[in-house]
Amino acid sequence: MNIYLYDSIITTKAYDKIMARIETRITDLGLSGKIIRLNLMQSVEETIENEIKKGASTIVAVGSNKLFCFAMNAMAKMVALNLTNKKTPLGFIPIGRNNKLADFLGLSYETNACDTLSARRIEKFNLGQVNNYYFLRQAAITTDQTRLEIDDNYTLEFLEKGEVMIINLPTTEDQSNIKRLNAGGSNLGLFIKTQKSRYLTPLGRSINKSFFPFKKLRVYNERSELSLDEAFKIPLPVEVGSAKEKINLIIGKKLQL
Amino acid sequence: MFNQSAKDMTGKEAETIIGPSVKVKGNFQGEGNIIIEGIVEGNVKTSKNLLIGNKAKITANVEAGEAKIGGEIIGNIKVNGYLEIISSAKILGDVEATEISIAKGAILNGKCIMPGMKNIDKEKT
Repeated sequence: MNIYLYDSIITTKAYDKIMARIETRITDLGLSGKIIRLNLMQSVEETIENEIKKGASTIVAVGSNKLFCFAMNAMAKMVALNLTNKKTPLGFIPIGRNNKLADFLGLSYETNACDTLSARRIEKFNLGQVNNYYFLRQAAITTDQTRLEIDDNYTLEFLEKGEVMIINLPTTEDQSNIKRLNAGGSNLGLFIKTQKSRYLTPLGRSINKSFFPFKKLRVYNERSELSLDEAFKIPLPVEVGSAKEKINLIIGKKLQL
Repeated sequence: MFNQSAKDMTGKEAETIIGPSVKVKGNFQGEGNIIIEGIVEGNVKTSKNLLIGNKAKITANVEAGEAKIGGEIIGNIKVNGYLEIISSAKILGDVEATEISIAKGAILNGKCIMPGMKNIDKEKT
């Protein structure tokens, strides 16, 4: 059975027409299933666990990037605890625009995403792990007051403002070194972009890039939090590494890998 | 051997890039090519190629398969193959390599050890 998890945002009146079109399309494609309208009191993790135990064949997150990431985390934790046969895939019907995870997975938005579900193109993905959380593409934090310990061998500090990105699945040309190294999917990569203050370089600011492959990373910052897949943030310090668990995702034709 | 242009090394050939805004402290060991343009305190080791940019500042012992040095190093350098020291380099420490070239303008204060001399000493005795 297909289980559709509705984000709390889309249960408002503003989304009535969009949801009506989506539900009609799902029915037309023969993909009908059980709809669960999540609210603030419901845990995504518990809901998914219950449905998989009852025999759900597919879990579909309908709504925002954040819901998709929570669902992905829930399913990865179930794999870690051996509570699932590991084959149940996670699908996504993104609602709204500028959803980077949806773009990365090559998914269309709203009604068009239903056709992608119907095609059922499933791919297994490695995940990054940050303490008890998982991320698919990247985790990020500012360089300001951030200190990193890599593989218990050396530490990194930053002399300019910028961003630290912990890359699991690279997507841009900038991260091409990681693409080459991650062909086997075993190591994560650290990608750092910084820029000098415009007051020091009034004629133009050059962007400085650094790259480090690693197996284990500790991140420290007393002020800022680590953002996972631009969906939610977790406090520091944390330990980062490749997750043993993998996840099956339903993808579109234009996967950005 | 290194390509003449550092750009070739940056984009595709380097496994690790330490950019100008990064400070590394500790034992840094890599398996592939390394480019250093920032600050390193500790040890640096790779079996492949090492490129030290002209703004890099290293207080460390350095070991590499081959190396091209343009920045400041306080520490000993050991290279299994070819070591190129370009004009912007400033080295305070001993240097050991199979082949060395030192450009005009480079500063080297330390011993220079090359394996070929051992055979000549033995012949004299």
